[in-house]
Amino acid sequence: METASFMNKQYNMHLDFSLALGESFTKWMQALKDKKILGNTCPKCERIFVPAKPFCEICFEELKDWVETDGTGVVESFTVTYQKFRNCPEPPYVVGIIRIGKAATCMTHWIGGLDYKHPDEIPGKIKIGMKVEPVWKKERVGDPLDILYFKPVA
Amino acid sequence: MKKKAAIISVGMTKFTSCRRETRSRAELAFAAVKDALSNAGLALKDIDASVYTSVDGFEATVRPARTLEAFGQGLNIPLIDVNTGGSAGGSGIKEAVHLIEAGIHDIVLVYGSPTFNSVVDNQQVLNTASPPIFEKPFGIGAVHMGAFYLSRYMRDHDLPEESYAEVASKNHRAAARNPYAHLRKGFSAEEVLASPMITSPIRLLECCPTSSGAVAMILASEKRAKELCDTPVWVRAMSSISDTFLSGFKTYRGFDKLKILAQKVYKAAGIKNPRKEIDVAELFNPFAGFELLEYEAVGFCKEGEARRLLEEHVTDVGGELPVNMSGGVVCTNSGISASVIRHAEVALQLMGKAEGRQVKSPSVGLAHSWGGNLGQFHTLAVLTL
Repeated sequence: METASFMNKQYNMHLDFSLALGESFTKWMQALKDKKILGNTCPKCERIFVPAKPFCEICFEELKDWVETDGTGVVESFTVTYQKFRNCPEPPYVVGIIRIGKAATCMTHWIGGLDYKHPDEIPGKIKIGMKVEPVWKKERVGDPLDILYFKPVA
Repeated sequence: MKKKAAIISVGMTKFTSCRRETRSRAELAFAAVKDALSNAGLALKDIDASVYTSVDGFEATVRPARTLEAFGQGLNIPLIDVNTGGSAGGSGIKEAVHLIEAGIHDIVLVYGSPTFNSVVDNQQVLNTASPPIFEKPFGIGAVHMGAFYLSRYMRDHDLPEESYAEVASKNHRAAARNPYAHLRKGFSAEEVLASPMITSPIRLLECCPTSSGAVAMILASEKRAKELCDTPVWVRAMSSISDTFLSGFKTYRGFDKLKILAQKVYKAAGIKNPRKEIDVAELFNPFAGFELLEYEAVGFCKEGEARRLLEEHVTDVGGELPVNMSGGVVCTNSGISASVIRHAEVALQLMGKAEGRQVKSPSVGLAHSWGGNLGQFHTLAVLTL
């Protein structure tokens, strides 16, 4: 092969970071320890944000009013991953776009607890508009991964 | 009074798989810039400013423009680095247009880098663009985010999977006519449907490859464009739009931001009926199905009617409004150069230089680019003869 005479050199960029979460993300993460999914509301447009955030990007107002949701949500969209990607979970896995309560925005999380024999059946087991609820980890540290996944509401 | 800006020249390398690439980044940049200069009859010293477009971090270095020397740094030419994710190519061209329209520079070079050509696993790299903490841990890269839109569209419009395969095949057949394209096998819809599912509903052949290759473009002021080029392509109107960062914050019901942008750009360009007035278009489709959502967002048809446009071959070779005659991003995705290419391809079509893929005498073209987490950025340009 002619191309055998060309060389490649491999290297990587393993870098470590520590991110300050600030007031609203900290409060939102802390509540996960108590199995609570909180949202916050814009005083002007009254949209509810889940996950919570520091300010409304449209009204540009600080979000100080908090609401507690019951944690259940609706699947707005989803995808079933069949391909293995580096640093990503083992396939198949389902990532859902989940609207919690009356939130104007959605959360990204896994959908699990599905009953199937072959991975090809998974997309058929999930309906957009389907109600889901969180399945919590026993040990919680205040992180979105305190929720193992969302499962269909029986 | 705003001055006029025109695309006067395009320089492009042939595209290949990132895994088969043997050319270095420097060699690709040199080849593309040299080609663009030679097509314009210019030397590097004639350039007033250069715009480099890529995504920091995706090239296994940050501020990648600093690592290449092909943009006139040796000749003290100002170098501007533009990064709006995948749409950086469109944003870079827009930057060049502004510099010329403002009368600051006469000749500006734009370079589209082969952003992803050193990746080992592209989704691993794209995953780093996901919001850390909130979304990155869930294992989502671009191909997952694209799937959210396409799952939702299928459900909202009762679209069969076959339509995504058909639009993929339309692009594959077009790429077979484009000597510069990466995937040129012209796969049929049946072959697309038989390819493995990657992230439902996206199958392998509906998904862009990781390509390598580079593109450069030269834009000029009205006076210089007329001196240097027989067929300058005028930038009649161009703008961009931005959106929020979190994937979950989006509605997934069509490309709403692109729709707003299109209305703005058409107004500035004086276009009332895009379907009738536009002759050729390049819409950014890293996942084949995106093209259908884009037909609706840019007003080629009403919401939910994209399938009909496809089935009536309106956007195919020989159709009334050919779209992605290059084979689109789904057949050649060389990172940020892919967003420069959308404009380069439309410019070549209008110049009558689109070898093998030429549309019959177009005079108005539309070029779109897309970037960031799920269309956090779009650019749109109306180009005319």
